[in-house]
Amino acid sequence: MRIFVLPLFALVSACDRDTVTSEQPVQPVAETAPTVTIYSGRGESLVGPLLSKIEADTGVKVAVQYGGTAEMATRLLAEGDASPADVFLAQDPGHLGALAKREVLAPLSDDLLAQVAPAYRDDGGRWIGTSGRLRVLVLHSGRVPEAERPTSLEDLTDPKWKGRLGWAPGNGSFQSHVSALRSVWGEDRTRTWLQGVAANAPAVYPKNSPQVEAAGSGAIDIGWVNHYYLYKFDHVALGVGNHSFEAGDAGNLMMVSGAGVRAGSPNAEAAEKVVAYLVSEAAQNYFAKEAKEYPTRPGIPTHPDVPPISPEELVVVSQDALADVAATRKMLQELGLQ
Amino acid sequence: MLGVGLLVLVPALGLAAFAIDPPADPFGGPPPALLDLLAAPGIGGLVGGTLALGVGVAVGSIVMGGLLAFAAERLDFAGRRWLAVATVLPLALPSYIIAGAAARSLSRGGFIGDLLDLHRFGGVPAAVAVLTVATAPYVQLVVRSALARSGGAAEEAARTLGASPWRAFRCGTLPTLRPALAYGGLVALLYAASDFGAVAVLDAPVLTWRLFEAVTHQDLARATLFALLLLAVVGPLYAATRVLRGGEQHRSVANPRAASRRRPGWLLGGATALAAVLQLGLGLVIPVVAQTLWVVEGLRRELDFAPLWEPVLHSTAAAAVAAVVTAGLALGPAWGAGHRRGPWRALGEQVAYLPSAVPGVLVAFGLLLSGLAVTRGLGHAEWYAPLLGSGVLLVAGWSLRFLAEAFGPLRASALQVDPRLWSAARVLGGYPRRYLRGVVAPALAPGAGAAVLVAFVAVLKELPVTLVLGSATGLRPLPYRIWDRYSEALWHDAGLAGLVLVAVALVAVSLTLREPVH
Amino acid sequence: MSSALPLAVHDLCHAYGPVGVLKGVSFEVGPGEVVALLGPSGVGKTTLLRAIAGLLTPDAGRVELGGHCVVADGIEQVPTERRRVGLVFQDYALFPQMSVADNVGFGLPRAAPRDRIDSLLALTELSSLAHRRPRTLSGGQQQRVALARALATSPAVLLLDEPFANVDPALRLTLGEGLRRIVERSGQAALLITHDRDEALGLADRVVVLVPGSEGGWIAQSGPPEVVYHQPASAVVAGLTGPTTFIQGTRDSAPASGTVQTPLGRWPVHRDCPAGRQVVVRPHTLQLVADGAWPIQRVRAAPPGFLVQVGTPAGPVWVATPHSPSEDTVGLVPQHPVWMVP
Repeated sequence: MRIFVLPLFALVSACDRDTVTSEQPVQPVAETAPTVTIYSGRGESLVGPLLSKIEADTGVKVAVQYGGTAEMATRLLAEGDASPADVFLAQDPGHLGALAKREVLAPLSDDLLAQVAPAYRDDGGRWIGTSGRLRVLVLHSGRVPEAERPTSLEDLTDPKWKGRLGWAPGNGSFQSHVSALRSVWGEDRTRTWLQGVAANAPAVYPKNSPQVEAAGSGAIDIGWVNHYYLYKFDHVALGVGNHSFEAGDAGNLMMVSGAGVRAGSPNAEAAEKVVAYLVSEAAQNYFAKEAKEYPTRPGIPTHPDVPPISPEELVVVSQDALADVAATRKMLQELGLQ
Repeated sequence: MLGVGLLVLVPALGLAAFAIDPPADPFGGPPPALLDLLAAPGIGGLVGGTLALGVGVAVGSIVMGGLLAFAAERLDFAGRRWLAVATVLPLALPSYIIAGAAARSLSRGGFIGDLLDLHRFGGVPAAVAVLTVATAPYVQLVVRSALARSGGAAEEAARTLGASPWRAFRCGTLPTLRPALAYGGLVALLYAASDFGAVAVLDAPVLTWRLFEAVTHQDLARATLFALLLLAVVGPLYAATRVLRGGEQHRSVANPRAASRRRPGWLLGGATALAAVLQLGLGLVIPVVAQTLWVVEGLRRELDFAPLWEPVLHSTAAAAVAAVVTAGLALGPAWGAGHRRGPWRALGEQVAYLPSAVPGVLVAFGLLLSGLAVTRGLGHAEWYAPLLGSGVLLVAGWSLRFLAEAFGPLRASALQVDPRLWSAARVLGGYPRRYLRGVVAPALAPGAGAAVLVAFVAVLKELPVTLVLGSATGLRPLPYRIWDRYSEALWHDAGLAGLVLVAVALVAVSLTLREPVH
Repeated sequence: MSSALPLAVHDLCHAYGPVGVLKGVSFEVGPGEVVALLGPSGVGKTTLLRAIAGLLTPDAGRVELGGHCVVADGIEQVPTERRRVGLVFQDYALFPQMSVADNVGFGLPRAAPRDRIDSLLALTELSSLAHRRPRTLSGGQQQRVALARALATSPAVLLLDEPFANVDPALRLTLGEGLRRIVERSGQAALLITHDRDEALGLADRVVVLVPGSEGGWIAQSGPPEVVYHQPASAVVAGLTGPTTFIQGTRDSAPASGTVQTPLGRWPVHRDCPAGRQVVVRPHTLQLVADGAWPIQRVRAAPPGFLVQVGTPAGPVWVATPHSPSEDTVGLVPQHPVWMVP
């Protein structure tokens, strides 16, 4: 039965352009161009087009496997030295930091690291940020007039927002943000804040996109999302827009997506080339223009629709703090939010 | 059949292995003890939520299904025959589609939510409503069968003795209905506690949904706890249904006269109308209308529709393979239950029905853990990902899940093979090949065909096993597309895929409804 | 109250769609009388029963129970619950969750004296079974429970639907006598619906014969069992009421002579018999004699009372086995004057 099943699935899977079979790629003895295996925690529809350009632009062949960031990180850890992965591309910095701490990721070259600002890379040099995603509120401009808009994250505990909020506690970005809050505010204040917002009975969504849509349709008035989800919809028609907090507020969090090379990878050189490509001008422009994210490479402009944000407005927090997801989840579970 | 029996045990063994030695969250500290997790706040509420959901659905479906069954069998009104068929159709629709359509339509922004100024449709109460509508047709069929079998003689006798219509019903018919109502309600309870699709879409805090969330977050220790709790809830319920099912079927009158029908008064008529509106509205009209509106809206706003051929192809191919495998696996137990004597009969039935009673997400999780346990135990943890990617576990999960569905038709066919023919074949020297080819194969063919068809449609609509064991294979069947699009609020895509699935399901159920209810 | 007829049916008609079931049925049941409604299967007996009980409303005609009109001209005047009929169903329809005593007492008001139930149980010889469930009883016992239950409300008329259809032939006689005794003792008027002539003629005071017709079943004859048996109104009735052979016969021209010429000889005819062409020959009234005009085949030996066919110049004739079969019996002679039907 298994023999029957495998070829069929291979056949079916091959119809899907961007997924490749999951066997270990065979290395020819006299190798000319090794295939670099990327474990991507970032979605196929998002980074697929970029990753397919790598071979054309750098000459390095790549094979990509997609999954959730947590799933891929766990897999990397479980597979250990026998893992076929060479590069790990993560959506959220939390797992990157955790892997870096365990030295599953190898230190990158200084040249490479220098291409982005220090805030956008690992202190130990084991991962580099490829783009930034900003946490914002998405709100309906009609139903939430300018005067009423929250200036601080704390404002969301105000009872006037009861029944009007939405959030996604299961989402990785949410959990990264709460990890950041725990670092910036401390455990108790974070817990109190979570309870305060929960008292306003926010609608729970599995991801960020539904919150934008819900804000438009009126099911909620304010959602807590990442900035680029707005652009997935006709936000003008929906009447919704992104809203950032006052400068330095804990709500203005920039989450850095990044990549690293697996320690012990036999294709370390080619792998680093792939990572370097991801912070090159071409790729950075892709992230800015196509994905509407914030580039990590200085000098690259954001998309015209995306208002630039200066580092002074962001909350000051170490990207490593976003790594402590386990404790965050425990807190969420204790509060019954997860 | 022993092979199938072993296969059935695999998820249980995996679960047991991880219960004894819970896996660590690789990004957390040392693995928490299960008992500590059990004591954590919120766990009691989770179990309570699951039970509340189950009980609510059981009560709701008994009332709704019982009332509609009574109307179909004992009342006379215009459109009766049409209603009797239509109110059973929601059985065909997967619970996540009913839930998704209801959630969007009945909240602000949906076509009904805007009309009636409703706010939000979600959580346990919404799940109770959706799952009641999904299970009431089954209760209705069970009660209708009981009503048809009991005839109306006792009720008429009561009336000739001066009893009012209500007393006549209470003393004459209701006692024979009680077992059917109890059995139907219990099955509804079991179904609700095991459901994944509706509770996930509506974000109801129940065990199946939290189990899935824990798995996706790689929090396997917590997932193991939830799995064990779910098993503790579902296990006794399943045992109770097996006990009740035995008692349910034996009572019947030889050639009962069809009971006379009467025109309902305003109270009964009003209640029936209300039940019918809820059943059809939530269970059939809203899903179809809402999804159509989404597609129309998408066309109007000139949104991009993701190509449908890919999920359709994936769905068809995967379901075909799984259906054949399932039917093949069910063959052994069906043959034993239908053809052989003695303990094989009971054993065959147990082997077939047991895994199908277990919630899909639990079967998937058990297989996942077994895969992990085996690859780690063999010292080759890196084999786990290819194992998952090959789809073996996925097909195994589907097969276990739908073993009972394939078992039914196959056993019916096996029952038709006269055991004496086997002796005759041996005496005549045509055993085993000629016997198998000439006698067994033709007899089993229609049952096998029906089994494959039923399993095919079931796999086509299935969600939890597909999500847990299927995403690593690269397979993106229709339910996956719908699920993904719900979470991204891309309703037009979800609606298109959903309409295709609903169409296939309705066609399939109309074919099976032609045959008598089992 | 007691002077009114327990049951009177006037001109009852009913049809299921285009198919007529009952046409112009009229009959009565007097106080304390046991009437059998005899007819073949499908003639409309059950429809008639249900119309009387109120379980269906007939298209036309009147039904009066105890002098009160309960349905007329297709409109129900009194619903089933308020008619006083006792109905014993073919499959007894006992309430399975109740004991025998509770079944019997079902139609009685809550405050009814206990001894009413006790006396009914005594009447039907069920006193020792009062606390048993119907499931544990034999068929005959269940029938008695159904009977006691129907009698409990002192109905105007007791309706019995094919009471012995589900009973073994061996038990039929005993149960039939038992039923008759109970009904007599209770003084109840009863209507017994059956297709079995032994039941009808053996248990009833009067037999009403329902025969099929183009527009529905109709009453062909009504009278005491002997009359219906010996003096049937038509060939159909004759066939329904007993085993019979029909022989062509010509009445002798002088009606007062009272004889009919048949291929088997000249036989005396009953003086009240109207004109007819066929002679009704009941096997039990024939005697084989030694003199006669034709030889007869050897008659098969069988215990007395069983019917055998013998070949005659008039065709095969049913005969109750002769007391002494002998080689040279050559004639058949009726012991009483015969009856003729058109």
